[in-house]
Amino acid sequence: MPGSLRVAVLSHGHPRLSPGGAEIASHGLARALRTLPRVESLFVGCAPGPGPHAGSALSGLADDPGDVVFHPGPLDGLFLTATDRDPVEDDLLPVLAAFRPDVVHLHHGLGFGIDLVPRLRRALPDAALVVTLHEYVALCHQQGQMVKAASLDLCDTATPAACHGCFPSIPAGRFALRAALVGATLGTADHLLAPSRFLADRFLAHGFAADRFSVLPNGLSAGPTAPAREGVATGATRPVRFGFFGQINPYKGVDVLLDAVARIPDADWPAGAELLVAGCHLEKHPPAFQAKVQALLAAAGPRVRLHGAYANADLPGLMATVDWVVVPSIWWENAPLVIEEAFLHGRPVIASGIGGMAERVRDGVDGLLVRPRDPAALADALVRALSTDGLWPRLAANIRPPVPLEEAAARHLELYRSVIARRAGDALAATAHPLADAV
Amino acid sequence: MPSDPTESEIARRLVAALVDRRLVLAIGRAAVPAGRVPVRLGGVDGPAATAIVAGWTGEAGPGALLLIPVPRGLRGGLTAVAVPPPTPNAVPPHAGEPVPSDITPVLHPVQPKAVAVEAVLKLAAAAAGPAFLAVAGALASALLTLEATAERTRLAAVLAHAAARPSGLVEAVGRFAEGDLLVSGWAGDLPADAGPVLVLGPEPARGHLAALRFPRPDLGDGRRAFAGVVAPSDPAAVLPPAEAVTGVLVETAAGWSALDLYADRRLVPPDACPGHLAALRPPASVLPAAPEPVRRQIAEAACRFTGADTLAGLAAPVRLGLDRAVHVPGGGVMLAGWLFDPEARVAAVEAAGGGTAVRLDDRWTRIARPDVPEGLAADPAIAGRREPDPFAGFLVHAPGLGPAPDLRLTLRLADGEAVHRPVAVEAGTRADLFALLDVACPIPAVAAGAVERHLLPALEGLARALAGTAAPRLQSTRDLGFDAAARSVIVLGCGPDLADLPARLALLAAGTGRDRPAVVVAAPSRPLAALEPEIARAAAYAGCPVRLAFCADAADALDCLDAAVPALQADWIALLPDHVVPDADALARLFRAARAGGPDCVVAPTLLHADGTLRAAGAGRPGRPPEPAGRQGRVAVPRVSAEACVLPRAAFVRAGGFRGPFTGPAARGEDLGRRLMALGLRGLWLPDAVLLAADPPEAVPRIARLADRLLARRTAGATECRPERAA
Repeated sequence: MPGSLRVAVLSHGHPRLSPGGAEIASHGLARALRTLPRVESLFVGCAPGPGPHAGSALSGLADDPGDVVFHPGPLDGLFLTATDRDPVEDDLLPVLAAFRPDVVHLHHGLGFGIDLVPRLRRALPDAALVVTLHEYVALCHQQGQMVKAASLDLCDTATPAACHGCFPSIPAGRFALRAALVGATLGTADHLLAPSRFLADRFLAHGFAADRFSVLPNGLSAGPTAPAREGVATGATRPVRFGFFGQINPYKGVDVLLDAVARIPDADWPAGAELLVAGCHLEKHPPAFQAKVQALLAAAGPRVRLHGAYANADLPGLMATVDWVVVPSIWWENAPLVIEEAFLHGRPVIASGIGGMAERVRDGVDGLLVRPRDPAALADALVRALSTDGLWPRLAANIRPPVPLEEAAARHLELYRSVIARRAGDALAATAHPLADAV
Repeated sequence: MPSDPTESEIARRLVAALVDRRLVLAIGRAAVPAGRVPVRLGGVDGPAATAIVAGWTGEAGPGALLLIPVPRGLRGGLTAVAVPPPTPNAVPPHAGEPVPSDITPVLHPVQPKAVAVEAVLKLAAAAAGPAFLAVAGALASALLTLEATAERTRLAAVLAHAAARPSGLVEAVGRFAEGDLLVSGWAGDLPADAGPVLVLGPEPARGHLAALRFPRPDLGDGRRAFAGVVAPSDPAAVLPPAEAVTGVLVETAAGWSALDLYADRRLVPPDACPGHLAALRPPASVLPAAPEPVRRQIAEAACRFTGADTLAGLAAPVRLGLDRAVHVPGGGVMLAGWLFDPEARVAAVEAAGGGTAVRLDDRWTRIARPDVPEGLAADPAIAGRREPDPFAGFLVHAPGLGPAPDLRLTLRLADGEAVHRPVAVEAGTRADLFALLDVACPIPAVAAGAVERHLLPALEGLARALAGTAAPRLQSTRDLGFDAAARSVIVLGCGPDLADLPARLALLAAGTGRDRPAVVVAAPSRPLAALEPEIARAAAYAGCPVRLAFCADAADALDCLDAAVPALQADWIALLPDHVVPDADALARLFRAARAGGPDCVVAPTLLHADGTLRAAGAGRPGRPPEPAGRQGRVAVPRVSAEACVLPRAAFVRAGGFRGPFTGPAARGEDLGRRLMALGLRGLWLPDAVLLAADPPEAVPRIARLADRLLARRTAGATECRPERAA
């Protein structure tokens, strides 16, 4: 298409293979960009394992024939760099070169390896490079959670010494090297994006340049919404059903939630009240955590209904069965998709009052915020939600809906154009490697 | 061959033979003074010398044999000898003194044609008749007082053998491992004191015999058994092997005695000599009075080390344990152990082997070892004895010793005996020395003293030895887009762990431009070769042109820098060991500052460590300026660390790189900085060029840190800093 803007969206996963929030957001962005006039987009999503077709790290999906699935091989767990660079050199770069992108928008450092950014800079010197950081893995080796490895206490700042404290077997110097490498490689991008102010501030606090860092919220596809349960909006029926949507892991705080539910006195737990736990992967976590969750489930008894894994398409139906969505994460979160989905369906959110959750949920306005890792405080909030007349309608009425995909795409397009314009201005001044004039 | 002189020639002239290039044996047929006689060579005004003269008066008239030293550069040769006339009852002038003016010397012309020594002796024997024996004996004795040469010793042996009378037999002979001879047998008139001997064999040798004499039932009157040791007369002399010995000529007060070899003499093997001597040695009660030096010499020889642990059999309450003995090339042997000696029986402790002995007890550091008396509690010989203090342990450095097969510890007891314990020494590295001291000296103050006294000399010796032999060296290189003509090069020094190298290359190459710095990866050959494909791909992926420098005999990153840098052509190099995180921007500023500073400067960054501490100019302690974080621009500093810096390549090579006795990278960097300053380079510090540093991959051991600090204290001076100019 002559004169069109060509955007390659590179994501660490394809939502059909790995339906995480960042994968869904990046894939949705690529789709939405295609709907804009004079914009072409290409979506490349990573997939684990070797390529299914001999001789190539690339494949496609029958359901999404326009997308490219890329099998990059494993990353270096500490430095987040590629360990097998041939797939990039032999397969990915030719695909991108053929697409001739004006913008390469890389989502997440994972998947391709953060050293793809400077490699792209050399391979596609005329393309603008934009990177969206979806969480803190670039800062934190503890799965990007920014919590202490042993205690899961919140961590504010990743320093080599502090990281060495979490991982005593890794010298502090390697963390210093990691931090420098992350900074240098991401620093070769033209612009960095964060879906939340909180995440952006975290990276700025770790030395990233503010003048090339913006906040753009993820867009959410505006599909069918789940109506409120009958009578809840009018007050005829008490809003007594809570929903937890997400992975059953130590960071999502499901154990805190189960503990809170279990400790609410029967007098405060009305008939028909229920917690729906929709999520999976408990079996992938340490036995101690599994045992703890099982014990808490036993203690909560019939107050909790387990649903197990769910597909994205199942969400409206599940959401229709609950009144509140609880997000009790014990880590900072970034821009949790579950909150956007709850707001999309008009459900107030009870969340931990930290990080990306506290940024999106306004306490007493469109949800309730509680102290993280505090079952008693969460129980109080649940009781308040159960017993306070008029609370649910008031909070639900104040909900700010998520940014629609189309609007998010438009905002991204605006940013792409500003980055391209700035690059054109920068080009007036010779760009060179810092050592170019020294060596 | 010279022809024999005629009688008429002898009558008129001295007939001379060359014993060696500096000594003439001459026969004359005139009366001359005997003994040491001052003479003039060539004429009455010729050079002075002292001749040794032995004369006779026979039926054919007087005559004499003269040993005449010939000075170097005697003009015209020895044409005549001016000798004082014989003056009965007159004492000849002392050697070297001028002949008194009232004495007119007699000029004896020398026959121009030299003859063989044997011819002179033959003439003398014929002329002197029975007096020849005394003349020969006297000259043999005199020859032994002169500087030794093989020719003189041979002549002395001939003369002494001619003069000697049979006196006894050598029944057993052996040669100690140290080279001296064991002799035992019987004799009639051996002197009590040690005296000169000539050992006869294929090549006669000079020696000194110290022997104990004692009665033996099978010997008749006037004969006594003897057992003794013949030591070489000087350290360079070599005595013949035992099986080659054919006899011993002993100088006694009455002349020379010959101890012939018994036909069925016993050959004693070297390791049996001490025991043989000890077995022959009678109890002190039956010994006739023997001079103390002789007693001591025999006692010493009788308890020499033969490879056996004689300490184990010692009845006295003396116990010794050796925990560890480590030898490092050039650094001697470091010994750690304990000595329990509650009755102070031990007079001296020494370590010996390979011909070198080092006394230990005058240099060692005693260390508290409360476990020693506890461990010996069950030893019946100790029986509750205790030392007055708990310092039974010892640590000592024995310089000059090596892994000799006869290495042992010797305890010299107060009664003159000596006992030995073989030492199994392990070949070690400096790391082994650190480990040894770490265990032996747990208390910091003791460790400091021990490091100063024992470790530093060992490390310095090791550094000297390594400088000559096992220096890190460049085995080969592989260039991957590397521009060998680049004038500025970053040298990444790596240790054996290359896991972080791809990340370091990626970090160094990350930038916005297309021009890439020239990078050398200097790493130990084996891991670098193993990871070469991976590193090559990582470098290509990062767009980083590199040279892979395969280094041999390199233990760590700084060693590899030492090996790789000399082969470069660059004018400027940035040294970047593997505990410093690469930063292209900071390095660029260092290069710029170096160029601006001139070709005689070393530019160091600020090192920011993972714990948040700073090292200004890489120099800790006195080099730290008051406000390092706020400084900008180049700052001239009198001391700089070259641990990570930019400097002229030639200066690095001229200063010898990181070689030396220091261990930790920081200390080695500061040491190189000092040497660079000594070469006249200027130290510059760029405070706002901050490089992240971490602890080295291998933690520097406690003892090594201590050693580095003490070494640095020896050489470091006061440091001040002043701004050079605004950037």
